[in-house]
Amino acid sequence: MPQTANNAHSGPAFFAMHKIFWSLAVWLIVSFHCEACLADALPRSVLILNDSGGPTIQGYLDITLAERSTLNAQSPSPFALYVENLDLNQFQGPEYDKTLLTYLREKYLDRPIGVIVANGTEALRFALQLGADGRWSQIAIVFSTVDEERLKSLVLTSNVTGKFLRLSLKDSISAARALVPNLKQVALIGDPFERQAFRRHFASELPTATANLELIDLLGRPLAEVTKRVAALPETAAILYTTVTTDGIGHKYLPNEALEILAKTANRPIVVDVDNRFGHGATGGFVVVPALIGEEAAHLVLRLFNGESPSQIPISASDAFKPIFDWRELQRWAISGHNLPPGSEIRFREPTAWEQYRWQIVFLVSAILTQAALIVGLLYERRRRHLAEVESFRRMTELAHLNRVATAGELSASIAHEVKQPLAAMVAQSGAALRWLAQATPNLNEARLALEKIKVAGDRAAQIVENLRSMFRKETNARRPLSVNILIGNVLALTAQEMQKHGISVQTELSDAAEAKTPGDQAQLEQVFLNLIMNAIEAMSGSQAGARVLQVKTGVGEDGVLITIADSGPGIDAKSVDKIFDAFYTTKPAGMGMGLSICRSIIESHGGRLWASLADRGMIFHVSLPVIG
Amino acid sequence: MNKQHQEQPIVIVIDDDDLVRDAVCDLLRSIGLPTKPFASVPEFLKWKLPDGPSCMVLDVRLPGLSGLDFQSELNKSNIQIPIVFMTGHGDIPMSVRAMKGGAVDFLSKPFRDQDMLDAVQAGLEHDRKRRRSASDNSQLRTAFDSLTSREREIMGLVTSGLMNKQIAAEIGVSEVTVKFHRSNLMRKMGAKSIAELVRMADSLGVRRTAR
Repeated sequence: MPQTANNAHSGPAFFAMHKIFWSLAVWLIVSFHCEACLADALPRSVLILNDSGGPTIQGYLDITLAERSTLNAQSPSPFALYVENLDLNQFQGPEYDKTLLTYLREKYLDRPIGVIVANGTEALRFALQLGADGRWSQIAIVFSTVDEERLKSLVLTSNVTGKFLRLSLKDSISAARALVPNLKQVALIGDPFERQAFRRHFASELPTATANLELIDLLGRPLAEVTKRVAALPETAAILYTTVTTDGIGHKYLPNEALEILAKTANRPIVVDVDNRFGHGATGGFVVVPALIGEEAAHLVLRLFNGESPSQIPISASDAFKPIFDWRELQRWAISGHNLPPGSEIRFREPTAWEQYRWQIVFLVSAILTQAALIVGLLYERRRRHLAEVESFRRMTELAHLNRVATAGELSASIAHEVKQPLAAMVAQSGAALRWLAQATPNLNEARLALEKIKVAGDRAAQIVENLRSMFRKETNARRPLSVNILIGNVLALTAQEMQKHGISVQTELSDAAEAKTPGDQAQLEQVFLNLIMNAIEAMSGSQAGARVLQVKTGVGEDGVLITIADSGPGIDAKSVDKIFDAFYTTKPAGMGMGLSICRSIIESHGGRLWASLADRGMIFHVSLPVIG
Repeated sequence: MNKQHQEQPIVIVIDDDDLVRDAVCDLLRSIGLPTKPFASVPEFLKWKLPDGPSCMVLDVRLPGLSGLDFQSELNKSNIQIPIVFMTGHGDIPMSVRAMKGGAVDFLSKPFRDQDMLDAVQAGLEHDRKRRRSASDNSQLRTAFDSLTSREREIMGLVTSGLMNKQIAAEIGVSEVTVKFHRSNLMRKMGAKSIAELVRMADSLGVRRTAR
């Protein structure tokens, strides 16, 4: 097809005059098409010439890839794409140019080229040389990545169009203001502007762009000095990094390499104007984006293939700039995204934990919340339970005291007797003493003996009162080690009168083994024994038959000390044995049904057990209490 | 009689509480009264009561037999010993029972020492009188035993208030014979008047009740 077109374009000379009308007709059709649709005549092949190979190739590679993908994406039929990296920034001079020209002309002899794309100033210069000769001169040239100043120095033919690149200092300053809102100082870093192809015009822009700002000019300084300076910049400063290839003392660097060194010590964000600075310490800025350059160039190429002629497309400034910022650096400098220019692209944003693990977090949080609610609920329940226990203990203590008071009432005669005994002894002894002394020759010896006995009786009275007080006092006593035998002895002493009154004889078997100490509240434990013994007395006093015998035994049980109190009363119905410890259950006409219930509460609060069983005659109550050790 | 009066008195103290028992003994000793303490009734029963005026200080509540029950036992056995009761919590029914049973006094603990001493003294005095009257009775009985059966018969009839004539008719003898026997028995009994003879007959339980 391209062949056909070419032939048609230059072809009529080859045809003989005698050729028939058909030939004329064909020519007419073809030439009509020639003027209307040159595109159809263009070979569908593009030669891309890149300035550079070597280490700076990356930018051109990105441009090239963008051109290729844009062309492939927006064209209905495929292009033949050829790429030549000319290495013109490393290899220069007419000899090299000449060799390259020869080489390329030979190489593409049989490959007709539709459009040449020249990326870079040197590539454009070379493309123009290539077009200086016969067959190549007709081929349209689209350029990109060419600086404006150099473009002016080139003589452009009508088959050339493209976009020149104009970096803007003003844009970089506005990017710096976005990063540092109260910007007052700008540190400028790079080779001197006259050595920077794309930034030569910055020198003239400088006064306007940096008006109201303090300029810290580090252009062309040795890198070692620059690194020190950028480490000590004021809070209100930003760093503008252009490009460093050779520093003030002649060290050569790759631009990104120098940037990395600087970024290590810099204490302020670094503004850049070239895309490939990211990942090397650049914070952001209005940057030239190679992909956009490539797209721009590709669009021009497509326009040419669509039939426009290069002369119809005016040469203009590239618009391949975009505000781009590095999220990691923004984090580093604690810059919020709010002040960034509209349409900014944030790169390397790490998804927040929420974005990354939303469902896991939702699940975890809900699990934790559920658990917390559960724990709070359980704690609340525990608290309530504790309060209820405290309340129940308080009530038990109160009831126990009421029960003690009632028992004290029942025992008042016995108590009075207990107290009156030593009092009677004291009165009688003091009468005796007075009489011994009143004799004609006072009998001092007898008087002294009498006084000593008064003292003994007084001590006993005090002891009895103390015992009674501790037995019937209201407040709960501290738990302390107690001997069960002594407690039983106290209670038996108190109830002796009562038993005698009812003709009950007591049999005690107090084992030495039960001397082991039981931790307890004396008043409460004595109350238990008192209740049990009083119950036994009451049970036996009602019965007619047989001897009235109360048996009290202490000994070693499974869990510590075991006390049994057996009566010879009528006992109770076997079915009721389990009920007698229930509150308000009573077999007595005037009973409250609280006594045994209280006894069981007291024993259980001491970690012991209280139970009852039936004997041949009467009942047996068993109290088991833990002992220390 | 004089000899009896000089007999050594003894105060028996029964209380199971040794403090009280001691104190009572000490109090009695301080006025020179001999005492004998016991902790229980069975202990006392093992002891032989000396012949002499005695008094017992007894606690109402005692292990085993109570004081009041013991008093009843003594009365049944016709052992007459004055008892002073002590109690820790005397109630009225108890004291009434004790006093009906012949108690000297019923003292509530703590008692005044003088009350105890007074009660014991009163008890001893009572016992002395009882012993004295008991000894009078035995002289009367000896005299009565020396009477002939006819004289005893006539003494019973005289002291029942019959005239000599009525007596003669009753037993079928002459009035003179009655007078003879009567003067004899008056002399033998040592009675100076009919009234005295009546009191003697009462003591001996030989007076016939009037029909």
